Amino acid sequence: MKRLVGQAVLLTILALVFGLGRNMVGSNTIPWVGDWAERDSVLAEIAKNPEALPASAQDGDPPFLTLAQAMERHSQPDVVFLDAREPQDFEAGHIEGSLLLPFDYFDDYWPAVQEKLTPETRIVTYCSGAECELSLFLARHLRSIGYPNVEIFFGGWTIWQEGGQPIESGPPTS
Amino acid sequence: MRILKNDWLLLIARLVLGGFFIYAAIDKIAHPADFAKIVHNYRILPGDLINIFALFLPWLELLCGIALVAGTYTLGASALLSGMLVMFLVAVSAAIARGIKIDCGCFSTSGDGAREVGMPLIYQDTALLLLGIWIWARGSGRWALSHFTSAAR
Repeated sequence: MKRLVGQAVLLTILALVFGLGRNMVGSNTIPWVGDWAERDSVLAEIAKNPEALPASAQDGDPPFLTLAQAMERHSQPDVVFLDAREPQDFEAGHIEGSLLLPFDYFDDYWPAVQEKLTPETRIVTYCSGAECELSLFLARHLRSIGYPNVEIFFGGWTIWQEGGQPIESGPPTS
Repeated sequence: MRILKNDWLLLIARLVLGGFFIYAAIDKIAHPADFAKIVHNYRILPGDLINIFALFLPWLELLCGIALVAGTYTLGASALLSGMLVMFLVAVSAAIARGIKIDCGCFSTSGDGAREVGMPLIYQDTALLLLGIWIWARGSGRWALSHFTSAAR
């Protein structure tokens, strides 16, 4: 018993020394005490009003998806997620498997994306989250040029990431 | 139960359990901020302790894993790993019971290949816990560093 406790204590102390020590040197460090209250308040806000719609939403806009609905779409291989944000945002991180189609540079990126779509393709657009409306504008535009099966995940990158859903980073592969 | 006395099987059990934890620790050590978020998602620890815990736990997993694979400090390492597995089982059960759908954070912090908490995870951790308790009860056995060096068993 004495040996057991001695070994366990030594291993625990070593782990503390390595774990906390590593956080004192190098670049990949985190604060000793995280600001979880702020993250909680963001999540609580979302939980209170998960269906919050963009200010400019109008009747007849493509359907808005909740996180749960977006997750369900994402699990289906035939649904294409389109990222309406800036290319550098996309490279820093995006929903797993999504394609880059920045609304602001639509014409530049459209040919590459168009190859992967048919008029029947089910599409989900998103951007960074509640304060961005690019996903809405992109969805409206896609519908107007003949892609009717488009939906909007307005929670976007923020909610997807906070929800711990699959992500990836890097430039788009073509 | 002669099978429980077999030193080769004990070696395999040590390699499996130790290897499992080494593998699980590496990604968490490389991404402390992401792992802290996962700890927070479980909603068990008070906020002030989350980051310290997220820094410390993966190193404990790694050191205990290495100890088991090498076959030294086996007693302490298997007891700690068994304790951690009990803790994981409680945390995962609590998440399931409360209906929290989260990435378990078992092996990867990135969300790539993420696993949601669920019953398969309970089975996996229970199986590992049985291995841990067996090793704990048996010690390192013959095929272990401590056996050849007379270092701490």
